Amino acid sequence: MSKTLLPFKSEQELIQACQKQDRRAQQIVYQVNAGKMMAVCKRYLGVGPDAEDALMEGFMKVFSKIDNFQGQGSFEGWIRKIMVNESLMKIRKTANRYDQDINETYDIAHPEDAIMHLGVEEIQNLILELPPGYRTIFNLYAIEGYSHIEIGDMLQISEGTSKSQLSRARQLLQSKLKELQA
Amino acid sequence: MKKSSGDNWDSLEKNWREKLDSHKEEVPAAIWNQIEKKLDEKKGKAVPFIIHRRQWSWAAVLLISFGVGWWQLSNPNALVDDSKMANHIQTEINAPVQHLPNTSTPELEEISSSTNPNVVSHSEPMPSHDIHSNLNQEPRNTTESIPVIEESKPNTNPVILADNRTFEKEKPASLAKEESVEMLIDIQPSQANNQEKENSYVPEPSKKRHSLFARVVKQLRQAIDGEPVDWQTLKQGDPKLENSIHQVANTYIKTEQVVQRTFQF
Repeated sequence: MSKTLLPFKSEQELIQACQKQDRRAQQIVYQVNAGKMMAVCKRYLGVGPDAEDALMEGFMKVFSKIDNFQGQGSFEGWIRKIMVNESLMKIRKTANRYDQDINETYDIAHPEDAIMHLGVEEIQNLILELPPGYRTIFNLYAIEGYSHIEIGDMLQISEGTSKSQLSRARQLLQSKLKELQA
Repeated sequence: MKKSSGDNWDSLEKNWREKLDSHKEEVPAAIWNQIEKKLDEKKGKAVPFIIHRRQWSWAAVLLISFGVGWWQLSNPNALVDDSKMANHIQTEINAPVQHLPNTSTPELEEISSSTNPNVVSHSEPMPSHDIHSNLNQEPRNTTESIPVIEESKPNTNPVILADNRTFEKEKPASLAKEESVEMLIDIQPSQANNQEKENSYVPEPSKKRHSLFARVVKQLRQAIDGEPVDWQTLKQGDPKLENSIHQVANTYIKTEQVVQRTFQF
């Protein structure tokens, strides 16, 4: 990590330089985080120009709002949050996919042990095959770790809708995993 | 014991989260170039505004100067109105002045008792029937002042002060201000109008107003250049101009502050 931050001695120093709009510091922040953040954007938006746009606009926001970073939590976590929000905004622009308020939950069969040994690429592909609405909620709940209440606030939907959409997402993943095993 | 479906999914999702957390995707090189370009554009937009801010302030100063000049030329009575207003305000401020016992001097008491037998010294108590007899006397001379009844001592006997005519002749110079107040209160309406006419400011030829404007603009320029400015020199011994000069200067300063605040916002 210290090699990548050169010529800055610490992350704190790097952030302070970014706050002064130091171009070198901004480039280092981008180089360190771009790969991970691209993966985040792709997980929500799929492969294509939307993910790249979200990444670019997300980093523009990072550099313009860096004064707001108070040092509470990790810097990477703060950038990730911005990227997730940017991806959600992109999804929201295309269509409203959260209009179903289904309180019915689905009984989920137990995932097989083999599923636990899936590679990253396979997991990524499985998630990307989900419809955008289910995918968003599965990503927010299962991967980012947000609660249903938080998801409801972020997407302007009810907690029940979030829960039911997660159940549907899990059900779809279950059937896809069965196909993979077969 | 068999795990519930929720627990199974939780463990699976935890497993996936750990794997995906450190996962990186390839990023096209063009994205950083686009970000850099946008950052440069943003920086470039901010700089010209700072440069132009000085020009804007100059434009605002010129606009205000021309505006004030035009206003003065198009309203020849503006100065007259200001001086009248100033007189009126002065009267309003001085009107409720009361004569406290401590403020009167022995000289004054002597003068008043010697010139008017109706007037009683502050130090001497006066019976209440004397007041009524004073009030019931025949009408006084038109220049005579209405006696002011002292209100600061409600329990003591009221005191009548000397009439104005006597007061004017023999009063010391330090009481000149009080004198002017009594005059304004006591004079009959017809006399008041005449005096107002005498005191009213007659607009001077436009040549003088032009020169005043030129001097104001010159002083403003000096102030902008950071040179010390003596606003008193503008008056040139004419106190009636004081309010106008201050008004122009205040308007200029306030407008400049508003312009600066607007552009900062």
